[in-house]
Amino acid sequence: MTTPIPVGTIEEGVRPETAAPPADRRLRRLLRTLASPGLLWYILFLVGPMVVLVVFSLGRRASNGGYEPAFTLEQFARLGTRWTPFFNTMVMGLLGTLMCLVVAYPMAYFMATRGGKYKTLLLALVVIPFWTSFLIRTYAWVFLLGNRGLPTVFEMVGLRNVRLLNTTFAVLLGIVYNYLPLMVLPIYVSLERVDVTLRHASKDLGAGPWATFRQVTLPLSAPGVFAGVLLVFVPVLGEYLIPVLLGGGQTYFLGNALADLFFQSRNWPFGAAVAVAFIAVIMILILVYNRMTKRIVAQGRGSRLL
Amino acid sequence: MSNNKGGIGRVWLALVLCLGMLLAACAPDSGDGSDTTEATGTTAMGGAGGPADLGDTLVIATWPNYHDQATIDAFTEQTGVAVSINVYGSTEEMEALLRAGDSGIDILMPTHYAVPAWTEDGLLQELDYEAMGNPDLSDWNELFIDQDFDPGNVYTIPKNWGTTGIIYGPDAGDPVTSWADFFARASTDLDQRTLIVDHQISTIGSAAVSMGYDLNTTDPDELADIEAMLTELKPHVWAISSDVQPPLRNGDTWASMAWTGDGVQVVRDNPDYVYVIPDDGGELWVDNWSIAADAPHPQAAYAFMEFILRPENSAADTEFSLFPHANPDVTPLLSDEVANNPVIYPDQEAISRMTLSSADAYNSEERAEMWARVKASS
Amino acid sequence: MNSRSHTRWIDRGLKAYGWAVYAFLFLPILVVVVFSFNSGRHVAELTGFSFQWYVTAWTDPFVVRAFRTSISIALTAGLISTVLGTGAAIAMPSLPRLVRRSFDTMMNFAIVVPGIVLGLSLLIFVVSATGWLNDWITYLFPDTGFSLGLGFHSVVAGHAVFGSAIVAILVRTRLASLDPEVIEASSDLYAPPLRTLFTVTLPLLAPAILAGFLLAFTFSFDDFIIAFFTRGQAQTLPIYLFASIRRGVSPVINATASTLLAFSVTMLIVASLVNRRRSQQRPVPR
Repeated sequence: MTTPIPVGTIEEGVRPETAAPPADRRLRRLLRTLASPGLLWYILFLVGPMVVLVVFSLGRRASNGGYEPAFTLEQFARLGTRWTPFFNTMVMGLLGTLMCLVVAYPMAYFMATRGGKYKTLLLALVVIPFWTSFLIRTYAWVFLLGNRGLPTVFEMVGLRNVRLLNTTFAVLLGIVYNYLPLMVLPIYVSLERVDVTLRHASKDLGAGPWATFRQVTLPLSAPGVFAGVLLVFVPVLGEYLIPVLLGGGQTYFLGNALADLFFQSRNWPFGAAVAVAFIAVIMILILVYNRMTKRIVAQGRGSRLL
Repeated sequence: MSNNKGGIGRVWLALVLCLGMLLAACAPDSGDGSDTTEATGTTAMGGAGGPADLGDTLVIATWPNYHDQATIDAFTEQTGVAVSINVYGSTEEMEALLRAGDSGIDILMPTHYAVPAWTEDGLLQELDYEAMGNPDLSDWNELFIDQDFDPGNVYTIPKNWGTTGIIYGPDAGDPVTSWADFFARASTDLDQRTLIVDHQISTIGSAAVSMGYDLNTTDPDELADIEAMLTELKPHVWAISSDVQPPLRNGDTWASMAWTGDGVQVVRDNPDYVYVIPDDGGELWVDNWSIAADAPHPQAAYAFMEFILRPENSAADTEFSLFPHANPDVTPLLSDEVANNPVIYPDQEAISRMTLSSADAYNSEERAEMWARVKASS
Repeated sequence: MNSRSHTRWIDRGLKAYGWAVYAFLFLPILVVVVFSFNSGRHVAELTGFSFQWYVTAWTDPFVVRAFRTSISIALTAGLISTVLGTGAAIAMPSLPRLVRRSFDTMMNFAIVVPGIVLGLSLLIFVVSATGWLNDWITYLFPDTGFSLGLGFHSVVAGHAVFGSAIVAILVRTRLASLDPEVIEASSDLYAPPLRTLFTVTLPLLAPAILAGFLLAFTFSFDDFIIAFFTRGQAQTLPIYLFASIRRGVSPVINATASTLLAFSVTMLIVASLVNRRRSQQRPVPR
């Protein structure tokens, strides 16, 4: 890191290690001090809990609820009983993420390319709604989608008996609404980096706006899109509040199943097993996803004409 | 080096803002020192120490809007003990905390069906009746005293009881008078306009009653029937949720499963709504005073129990929370509108049709799994 | 000619879309704020204008206490996250390979794992660990009555796990874009590493550190799911709101939320004003 300062005569030879300034050892010690609190914290509050989670998943439910030490795989054998919420969660999560992407992309494009000097303000305006409590925002939608909210507006134009709340639609709307900034931000960042001259060059070469977009802008924004999709999809899989407040119990996500196992059935070992399986699924998803996206981005880079 | 003064300046700004917020958060009002959650007094008195044996703190775990603050303040004034009230959304949440051990809580308010498990696992202590001034429970409402969940009331004393009934409004048309009626109409003329609560004990229980079974059934065949009925019903209900009031007030639901407290509030604000004790029976429940086995301030806890069990104090509490009390000496001290409110104090005949939900039903894994299956169905 | 009008239509379309999305984003906020001034009790009917709910909200001891708890937790978790995350980000490149890889994995894991899993695993962990630890504590220190359990600290612990990962990412990104020669220059001049850290590295990283702190703070303040599992007796504002919505709605909730929103927006405006003034003052040596 630092340029070695020669010490000693030429006969003795100069070896960079012995010639390194004493600051190097101190630097290493300092770095270790910097990293150790973080490392310790993570071992204690992340690794520790995960270990205990696995231990619990191998246990049994005590007769009055709670955990009874045991070493058995019976909890994992029962995972099949939670297949339906798992499947629902994956489908709704995917749907919600895609809808979020569809809504977010044009928005990010607008902000990055037409924002001009107001870019930061536009960005801030996207983020501000999220400085109200998540609960309140979602609760406001409960009112808006209920029979005294938007449906009254619909009735004015003649559409009667429109049911908006406690439907799949409401849950998807909740997902799009609450995760929009997470999708907009990475796409915006990657779009912003796209050199304007590239687009101009494309136009100069005679490409129409749609062709420019499809062949220049879109591929260059791919990393942002991939990041956004991951940032939204994984947390949505673990959602608890949106299905409860906007789904009215009609949609049963894995997060709800997990919470119920802890707070209603008080079946901690089975809950732990579901959680462990859940984590495993997420890790696999991310691995596959990373590999896929890396390949696409690499391919994209390779085929660029510039 | 000078080009980054801007950076440091921003850091300083942030630190100053945080300091401001910290000061705001820790500004003394009623004797709050540090902002740990354990003993923060909620009274006007500055937590002055009372008689040495009582200490100066008491911690109560309870439901929201369940206690009359004026009564609590009177207790603090008399004894110098500051009372800290911690609210929970459900008994299960309270239980998770208690099982974690050393929760720092003195007095708890479990619903009766959780009590047997808690006493079996040693989470509650036997009540010292002498320390509470020897309250005489013998003429209290027999439906709630000396029951299976706590024979002889060794560990608990009832605070308030309640029912799980039906609220319906004018949009429902014909009155909904029984569980059978409710569940039948939920898929016909009340389609998309009913709500069932997200609580296995109450919903499976009420469904069982509607089909003629026992509220607390754990019989596999009966549960299978109930599961079939509920699964078929699910697409027809407005919601499976314990947030009973918002849909009623928004006009989203016309008839709803509900608890006494909801009934009182909704009927008070909308006199054309009715809270009904169903003809075919239903769930009866009682919330109980109890003291944690590892209560850190037992003397203060008993002093509080003695205080709150005095009829005039129980009456004040009841007037505030609007849940019925099991002590007959309390009723004459209540205002007319509370004592004669049929939602708060339904007649004995009506509630004797009902059954206390059982600990077995509460702990039943079959019921819990069945409920999870119903919720997961589409 | 054709492409120019094309572009203009696209411009208009994009602008209209932008407005529509903003309307979508702010509609619920508007509802919350409007009904906080409603003089009637019901969130469903507008009956008049009144400040009463603001008064009720901020004199309600439960609301105030929940607010304070949330702020203290958020400040503590934010500070801890910032310290841990910054330290980790700075030290990361110089750690031995295995340590670096595992630390990196742990941080990514913390971000990726859903809050509900983080919360419930912490719950189980604290319950198990404190059960065992408390036995030792009462054995070693029988008279103090001290005991560990769920509460303020377990919520902070959970929040800081996620928060420090966020800070680390932001600081790392900024660190990667810095000119390493500036830092090297400092140590070439025989400045002790600690001095280099405080006078060169940290100031250069300041914007990322600040942004990280704000993000960690906001996350902690708004969190429901981790606190839901680990809170013990602590009552944070989202938890309190969730419990009270269950018991019946009142515009008090709207008033609380609107106040918080106004507070956050004010902070944002102040921060941006200061930022603008600073950037005007700052000389640009490069």
